[in-house]
Order: sequence, then structure tokens, then C-alpha cells
Amino acid sequence: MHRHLTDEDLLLKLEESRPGSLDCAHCQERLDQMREWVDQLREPGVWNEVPMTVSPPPMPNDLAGIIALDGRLRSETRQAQETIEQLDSTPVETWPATLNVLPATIGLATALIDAARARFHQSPRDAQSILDLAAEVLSKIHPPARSTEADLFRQRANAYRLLGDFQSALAAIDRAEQLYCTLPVPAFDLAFVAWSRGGIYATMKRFTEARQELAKAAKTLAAYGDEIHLAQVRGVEASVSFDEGNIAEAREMYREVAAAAERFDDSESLARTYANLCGCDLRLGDTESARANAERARVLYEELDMPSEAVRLQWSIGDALSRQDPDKALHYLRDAASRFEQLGMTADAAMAHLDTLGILLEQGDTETVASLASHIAALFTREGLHVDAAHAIDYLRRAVEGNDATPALVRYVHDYVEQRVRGDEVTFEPPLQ
Amino acid sequence: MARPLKTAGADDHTAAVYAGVYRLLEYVATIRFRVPREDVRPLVHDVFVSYMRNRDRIRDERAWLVAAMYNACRDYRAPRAAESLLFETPAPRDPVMERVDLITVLAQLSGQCRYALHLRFVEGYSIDEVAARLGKTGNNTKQIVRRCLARARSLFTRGSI
Repeated sequence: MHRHLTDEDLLLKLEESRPGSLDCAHCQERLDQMREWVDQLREPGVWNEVPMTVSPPPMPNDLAGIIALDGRLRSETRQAQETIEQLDSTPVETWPATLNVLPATIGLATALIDAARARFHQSPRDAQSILDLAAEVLSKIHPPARSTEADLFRQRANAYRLLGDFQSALAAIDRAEQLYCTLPVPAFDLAFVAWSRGGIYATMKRFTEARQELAKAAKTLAAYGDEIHLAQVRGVEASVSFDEGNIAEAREMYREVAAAAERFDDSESLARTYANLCGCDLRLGDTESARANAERARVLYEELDMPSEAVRLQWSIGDALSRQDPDKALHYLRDAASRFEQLGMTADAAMAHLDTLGILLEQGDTETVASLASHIAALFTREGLHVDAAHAIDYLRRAVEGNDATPALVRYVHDYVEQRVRGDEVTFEPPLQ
Repeated sequence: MARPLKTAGADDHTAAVYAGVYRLLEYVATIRFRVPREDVRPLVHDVFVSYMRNRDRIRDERAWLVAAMYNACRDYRAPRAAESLLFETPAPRDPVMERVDLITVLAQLSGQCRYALHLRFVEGYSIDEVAARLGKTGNNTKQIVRRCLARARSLFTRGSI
């Protein structure tokens, strides 16, 4: 398959003493444009007109006032961050006692939003509780702080996505978008909205919509010269390719993302990308590379204190090994499920347990299957999430008890629960016998 | 732990950024988008409000501010386009606009990039001659020139420009 030349390839081509013509008409057209552009660059007049920093006019008073206000907000936020750092080791439920005596300020709300963001991957449920506290602070501020409110809703969307509540996530991101649109020059903020929405759609496996949103985000980020965030969006695009089954394409994209993350010293993206590369390697049967990438990801996640991502990595490895080495897969999946539970990520825990259950059933371990099915059903019921999904799990549990469960039934229930968890409004119908 | 805020001297920094980039933003507004001079300041004002909102996640401030100015000018022009018969949307390959865009791009490059590209493409020096002036090795200079050229091209072809 022909790969069109990138701008960098074309520039290299122009460096050749006699750049010959190209076979691909599209590439040739772009090469001609590039040559024309470089010729323009050679024109001295273009350089003489470059407007540099000579005698800027004095800053208008209103802008100077806004800058001073921004400075005050930042100092307010810094003070609030210090208070929150002291609360860090205490349960979030106890925070209101301290926070309620503080004045409700934008700085406090911002510091709470930042604290929530820092907890996303350790405990999205705690993050959501902290965002509730930020919302309470913002509700007391008049006139409303639109920009901070918009940030709050965007982070709420991210937290809901991690908790598996996709409809609430979509509603929150819509609200964030509305609020950003009321601010001056919102294009950059809206790129982050599109990115978040794309991420939600990608998790829901609504790939076409995910691609549209991610492309929108990428276009704006490229326009703003923001290569770091652009690389991160490309990472989500790669994960869409992966989920669509285009593993080799995804691996290629992830490699480019890893190179960019390394260039910008962006450890978090690098860790995620190594984990994703590990997933691609496993699917492509390249176990040696998978092991190396998993180890790189693990080390970085530990350094970054991101346990939920480390668990996701384990889950993917377990899932990928389920066919070739079920015993090893069980080890990874069980550990992942129990750690997801500890982190309060019930939907992910249930899905990982279901993966475990499928393998156990194939191995004929009916006793463990029965207790596990009860455990998953209890998990869903206790959390009050997805009543229909709990019914499906209960149906499976009863089938296990009646010795009627088969791997096909487990897959059926698994697929149903997955659909339900990602927000599809489908009713559980027992499979036709 | 929450990410640290850029606070120490942030006011001074923003004022310095404003001083450093105002002429360029004004150039974009008046020449590229034909915004009347008296309307430029409110647009720059809006761009800086947006900049302050996003400052903690901006890496390349100059490129960011120019892109924001392009967006602000587009938003400014959009409702007026219908009102004014004189305003015409630039053609996709308008050479005058392309020249303005190129000038804007060159203004966004770092001093080293501008110097290296000027020596190489305007003065016509060889890589070794450029290297001698930059005080770098030939290979290093080759990479700098290539990287700066790629950066200029990507700024030129990016969505907003």
C-alpha cells in the first residue's frame, strides 16, 4: 500500500541535488507546492516585513486589570492548594468540615478541580466527590465563574467516562461546551471538549463519532502549534483503530505517538502508549516486544502513581493471553478485577470478572464459577448501577447453578453487559436455546 | 498532587508576552483580515483573556497567540461579512494572503531558527558556513535547518493559517 510522503519527507526530497519526479500524483503536487513555498522563503522582502517587537503600544488599562485579577486568582488557588494538600491523606467525606469554613472563591474551586484531576486514575469516584465539592463552591460565587464552571463540567465528563457512566459523561461534556462558547475566543477550549467527547465515544465503541470529534480536536491543536496535546489525541485515534481491529495500523500510530511523547518528555502519555503498544504486540503475536513494552509502561505508571492504569494494563495482558495461555490469563484477570474493586471501578471490575468467569467455565471449574457469578451480581446490585446488567448477571448466575452455563452464554452476557455499561439502551433477553 | 501553577512573576511574564507579540497580532488583524485599526485592541484583549485561561497548558506561546488571533479575527469578520459588500473571503490560494501568512510564520519562529533559515535560504550559505556562524557542528546545523523548516511549514499549513 502506498503511503503518501509527509512534509518532512518532501523537504528531504527537495534537499536532493536533482529531485526526480514522483510516481504518486498527489505527492508530486505537494512536492511542487513545497518547492514553490521554499522559493518564497528565499525572497528577502518577506524577511524584511517580519513584524518584530518594536515599540508596542502601552497595555490598555482594562487588560492590565485583567492580568492583575488573574494574578490574584492564581495566588488564591495556590493557597487553596496548600489547604487541600493537607487534606490529601484524609477521606474525601471529611473534607467539607475544613472547606466549609473557607470563603467560596474561584481559586478554591480551581484547586478542587485540580485535586480531582489528580485522582482520576487512582479513584474516579473520589474525583467525582471532589468535583461535587467544587460545584458547591461555584454555586456560591456571583456573578458565575463561567470559565471555571466549564472546566468543572469537562472534568466531570472525564470522571463519568472512567466510571463507565457514559450518558452522564456526554451530558456533562455538552454542558461544558455550552459554557465555553460564552467565553471570548473559545476555539482552544473547544478542542479539549472535542477530545473528551471523542474519548467518551471511543470507549462507547461509537467509532465514527469518535473519529469525527478527535479529528476536530487535532485540527485545532495543530493550528495552535500544540504538538504535545496533538500527540495525545493521536493516541486516542490509534486506540480507535485498535478497537476496530486494525492492529498493525494502530501499532504504527502508537509508535509515532511514543516518539512524540519522548521528544516532549511527556511521561504520562509515554506510559499509556507503551501499554497500548504492548496490547498491539500481543494481538500480533510479538510476545518479546510485548514484554518489553509492558515493563516500560509498568515502571512509568509506578513512577507516576497511576494504579488504575497499571491495572488496565494487567487486564489487557490477561485478555490477550486468554486463548494461548489460560492459566496465566487467569492470574492477570483475577488480580486486575480485585484491584479494580479496591479502586471503586465497579464496571471495569465486573467486566474483568466476567472475562475470568469465561475461562473458568471452559476449564470446568463450576464451583468457582458459581461463587464468582454471585459475586459479580452482588457487585452490580450493591453499586446500584445498571439494573438490567445486574439482571443479566443474575441470569448467568442461575444458569451456572443449574449447570446450564456455557462459554457461549458467558460471551452473550459479557457482550450485553458491555453494551449496557457503555450506555446503550438495550433490554436483556435470554439467548435462544 | 495537583499540577503547580505558573505564579511567580506571572503578571510580569504576561506583560512581557504582550509587549513581544502585540505588533505581530496587530499585523495579522490589519493586513491578513483587514480589521480596522480601532478594532484591533479589543480583539487582542479577547485573545489575551483566552491566553490567561489556558496559560498553564500552552507550550509555544507565540504560535498559540497567533492562532488565537486568527480565530478571533475570523469570529470578528463572520457577522460583518454579510453586512459589508466590500469584504471578500480570501481565495484558498491567494498569493497575497500566502505571503502574509509566510511573514506571520517567520515571526513566530525562534531567533535561532530565523537566523539559520535566513543564512541558508536568503544569503545562500552552505550548511558548513551556516554551522560556522551558529557555532555548531555541520550535522547539528543540518538538523536545526531541517527542523526549523519543518516547523515553519507546519505552521504555514496548519488549520488556522
